[in-house]
Amino acid sequence: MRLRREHRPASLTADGNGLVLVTDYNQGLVSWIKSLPVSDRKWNGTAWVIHPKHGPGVVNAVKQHMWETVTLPVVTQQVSGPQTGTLDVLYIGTCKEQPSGESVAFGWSGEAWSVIFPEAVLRSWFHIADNDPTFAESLYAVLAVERTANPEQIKKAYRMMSRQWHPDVCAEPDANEKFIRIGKAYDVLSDTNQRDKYDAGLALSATMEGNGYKRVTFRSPVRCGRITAEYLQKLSRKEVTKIVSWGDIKDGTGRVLVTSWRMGDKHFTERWIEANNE
Amino acid sequence: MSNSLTIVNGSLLDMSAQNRKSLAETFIGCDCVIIVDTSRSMDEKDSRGGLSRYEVARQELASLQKTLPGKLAVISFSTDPMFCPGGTPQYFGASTNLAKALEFAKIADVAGIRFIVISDGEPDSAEAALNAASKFRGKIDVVYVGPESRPTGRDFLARLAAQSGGTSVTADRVMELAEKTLMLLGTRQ
Repeated sequence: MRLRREHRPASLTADGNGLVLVTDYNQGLVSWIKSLPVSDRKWNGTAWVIHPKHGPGVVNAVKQHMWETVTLPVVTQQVSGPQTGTLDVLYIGTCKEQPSGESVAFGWSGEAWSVIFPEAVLRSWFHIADNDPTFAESLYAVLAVERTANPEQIKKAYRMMSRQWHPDVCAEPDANEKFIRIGKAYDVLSDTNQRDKYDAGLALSATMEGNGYKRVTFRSPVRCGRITAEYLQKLSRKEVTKIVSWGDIKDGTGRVLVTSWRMGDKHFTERWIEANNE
Repeated sequence: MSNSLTIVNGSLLDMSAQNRKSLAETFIGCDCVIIVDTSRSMDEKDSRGGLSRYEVARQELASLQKTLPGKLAVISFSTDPMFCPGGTPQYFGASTNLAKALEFAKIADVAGIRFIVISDGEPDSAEAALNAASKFRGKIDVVYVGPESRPTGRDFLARLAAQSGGTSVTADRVMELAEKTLMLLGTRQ
C-alpha cells in the first residue's frame, strides 16, 4: 500500500544565507531552480536555499508551477566580497555542465561538498586551456604544467602526480593507466631532445584542421589539495574565483594525503603516505 | 587526384594508431621531414608508365614509409604547405611557394630531425626560399625530380642544399625517388 504524502503548502522564508523554499516536489519548479547558477542555489536536504537576488523569480515560479502564492520575505543579507583563504579540499569531482550552462566541480571540504570550482578556474590553474585542443591532451596536461615549465617544475609536478596516482595507494579506477602515463610524460619532458621533438610534433599536430579532438569532460588532474584561493561566500559554500596555490595536504608528521574513489563506493577513501622522496 | 584520406603503412598516423600514442608522441621517433612539391607541374604525366610525377612520388613515398615506419613525416606544398601525417602528400596543383613551406617546416627544426625537399622545379621566389632555408639549423637535402634536360630547377635546388651543408640528388621525373631518398638518409649506399 502506498502512503500518500500530505500536501505541504509552499513557504518562502529567509535565513542568514538566503531564501529558503519549502514545497512539495514539482518537476517543473525543480527544473527552474536548477536553471539558476549553481552557486545561487543549494539543496540542504529538506529545502532549497536560493540567493535573494532571485526572489521575484522564485515567487513567479512557485505560482506558475505550483499554483500557490508565496510572499517574498525581507532579507537582511550579509553581503560579503571576495575573500582569500586556504582550504583543505579532500576530494574534487568531475566538472559537470549545469542546466544554467556553467560547468563546475564540487569539492569536499569541512564535511560537505562546500567548495565550487568553475571549470574555467581549474583549467586555468592546471594550464589546460579549452581552446587549445592539441595541448589539452598533451603530456604537459598529464603533469599539469605549462609548456614553458623548466626541468625543476617538471620534476616537482611529476613527484606530486606520481604520489597522488600511485596504484598502491590510489583507488581510482584508472589509477594504473594514469600512473603509467605520468611516468611516460616525465620520461619525455625531462629529456631535452625528446621534449624538443615532442614539442615539434605538437606544433605540427596543431596545424591540422579539427585534428580529431573531441571535447571531453574535464576533471581536475589532482583529486585533493591544500588550496589557497580567492572565493565568494555564497549560501554557506565557497565559489572559487581564482586559485593562488595548490599543495599537498600534510599531517603533523609530514605524511601526505591521497584521496581516491573506488568504483561502487559511496564515499572517497583517504590514505596517508610517507613523502620521503622530496 | 587527392588522396588525403589514405593512411600509408608506416606513416606517422599509422604508427600513432598502432601504438596508441598521440601524433606528437609518435613524432619523437621521427628522423626526417620530407617536404614534397605538389604544384601544377607535378601533374605532368611523364613518369614511370605514363603516370604523373605526383602519382609516382606518392607511390615512392608510400614505399619509403613502409620501409622506415614512423621515421618520416610528410609535408606537401604548393601555394600553401600542409602537414600530411597519413603519409600521402596532398596534391594542390598551384604555384611553388617553397619559402612558405620551409617557414612552415621550421617548427620541426630540432635536434635529430633532418629535412629533404622533393621538387621538380624552381620556386616562386628563389631568394625567399634560400633565405628561409638559411634559418634552419638542420641539414636540408634535396631530390630534384624534374627532367635532367632542364637544369635551372636542379641548379637552384643544389644551391639550396649546399647552403645548409646538405646533398642534392636527381631522380629524373620522380623515378627511383625512394632509392635516392634512402641514399640520402644513409640507409643505402
